[in-house]
Amino acid sequence: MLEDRVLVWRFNHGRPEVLQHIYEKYKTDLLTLAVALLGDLAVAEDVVQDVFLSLLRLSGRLKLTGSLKGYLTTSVMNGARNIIRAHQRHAMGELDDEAPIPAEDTGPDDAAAIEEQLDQLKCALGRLPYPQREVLVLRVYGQMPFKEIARQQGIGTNTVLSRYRYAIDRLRSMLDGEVRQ
Amino acid sequence: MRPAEEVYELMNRLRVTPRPEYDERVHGEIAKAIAELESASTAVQQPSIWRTIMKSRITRLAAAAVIVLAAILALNFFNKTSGIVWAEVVQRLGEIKTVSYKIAADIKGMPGTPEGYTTHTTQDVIVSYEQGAVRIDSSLQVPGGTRRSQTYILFEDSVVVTVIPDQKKYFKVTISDEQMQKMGEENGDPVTLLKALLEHKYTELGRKTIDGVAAWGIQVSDPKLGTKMGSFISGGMFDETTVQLWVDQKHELPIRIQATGSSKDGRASMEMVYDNFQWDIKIEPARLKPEIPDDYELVAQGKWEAGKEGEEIIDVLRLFVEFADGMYPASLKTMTVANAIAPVLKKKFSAASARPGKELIARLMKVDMVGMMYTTLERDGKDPAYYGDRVSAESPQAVLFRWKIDDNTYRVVFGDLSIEDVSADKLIQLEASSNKQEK
Repeated sequence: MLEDRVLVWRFNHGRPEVLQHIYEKYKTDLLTLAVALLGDLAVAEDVVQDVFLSLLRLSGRLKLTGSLKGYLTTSVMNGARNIIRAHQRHAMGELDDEAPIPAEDTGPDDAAAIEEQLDQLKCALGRLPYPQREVLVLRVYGQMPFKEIARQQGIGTNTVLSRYRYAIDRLRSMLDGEVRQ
Repeated sequence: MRPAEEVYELMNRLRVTPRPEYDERVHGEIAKAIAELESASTAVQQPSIWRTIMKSRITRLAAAAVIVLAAILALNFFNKTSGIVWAEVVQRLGEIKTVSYKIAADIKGMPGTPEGYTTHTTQDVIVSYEQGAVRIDSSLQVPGGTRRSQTYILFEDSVVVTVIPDQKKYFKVTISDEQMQKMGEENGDPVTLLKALLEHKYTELGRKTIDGVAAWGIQVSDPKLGTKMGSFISGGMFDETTVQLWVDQKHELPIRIQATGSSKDGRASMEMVYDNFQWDIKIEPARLKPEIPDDYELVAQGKWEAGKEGEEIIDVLRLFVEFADGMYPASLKTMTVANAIAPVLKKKFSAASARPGKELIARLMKVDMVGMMYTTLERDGKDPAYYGDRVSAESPQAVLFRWKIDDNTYRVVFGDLSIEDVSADKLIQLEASSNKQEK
């Protein structure tokens, strides 16, 4: 995190190329986040790329009140929301069976059982209602505090906590095959 | 039903690693956007603080306070034991638009002074990042009087001007764009410094009251430290360097820097204090522009171009063939070189009618930069080596100085200053042969 402050400092002082380092540092986290939110690798890739190109326009005047990762996470979340709004079929968070979360990811464990579980997880995530999915994904992949998620979404912390619990419960059910959507 | 923890753990296993072609695409798009951004902003470019402030060694001298602090503070990024949030201080420094401060130093062994003489110098420095300019009013007490000068670093013009009003003279050094950019990218930026300094040990000095203000300090000691930081302590002037930094606990801004340096032989030493810091003060533009009356004489002009450090060093070594009978300085530290050439020049030009020409003065100005140039070769991975401590013009075939000019080729300068480009294998033979000759 402290390294981030230095990166931002450099970025603001005539060194826009440090953006390449920032991208390298956070690309996997951000792409995972975007894929989990959008369920479409190509669209997620575009969102992450746009986040960095937009950031470049702030060179010299980027002011962070929180962490760089938090800023990037929020940017990806906003980008994903714009996509969702533009594509109403995703608005309710229902992903088509034809558009599952892609399998280009790499899990740390090569065991077949884990792979299978991850496939199930991807499908299950795509079936969560978008508001619940967003809370869950921001919490797990963005490591964002509930309070911050509430602030970002303009809702109460209790609502965020409820959505998180619902999301976890639904996910658990789906992964156990108890809910068929 | 699975426990929530298991779901959480499973989610954490899901990682989407970008495809190589995607990586390539994003890097390409960022590079393209940066190029467009820089191209579009050229016409109305506000001087980038970092690039402009690092334009020259002298600039770094003036900017040393900010740079040194940023670098040293960074040491404590991972440590909050002192109660100071050091990272915040670094960030705060990055937002500073102007600063003024005073430097007072006692330097023993200044070139041209008697053995053991301690020179007292003071500098009043003002830096405006907004206006892209630095002014240093210097006072140097030497045997027989006080020398006063004003140095201006003008970023827009890539030039450093030093005016000596008492003598109605001025000097000018132009820094090439390439060198300027190179220095900005590699030489002084805080991350480079941070990484370099993190490799060194540092110690917490704890809390102390300075001028009635509570301050926290840290100390860094390392022979190579000076070369990373600019200022008097750069350029390989001293073998040992220690820097203490004190930060005002309340405002989290630097309040004092103390630096000491010494040479191994004990002939040169330095004690320096930076204080009287004033941050974000108003500076009238007129104070940052040199006004040189028509009757002032331009004594000499110098230039430092990137990639020519080796050749510039050879030019400095030629001075020793011309004026010191081919007895080269023992090392390429600025102080050593200056101390070796000063007595012979003083002797040669002691007569009232004798004075060095402009061309010679321009070459002598390079002496001041020789240590920096050598360390630039080191930093650039050019694998330089210098053997002036055992090679003179009397050993014309011995290797005096060499550096790498490409992956497998070295430029070798022999005792008689003849030059040959050789392979790495050939260099090994030449250096082995040089060693035999000495024995």
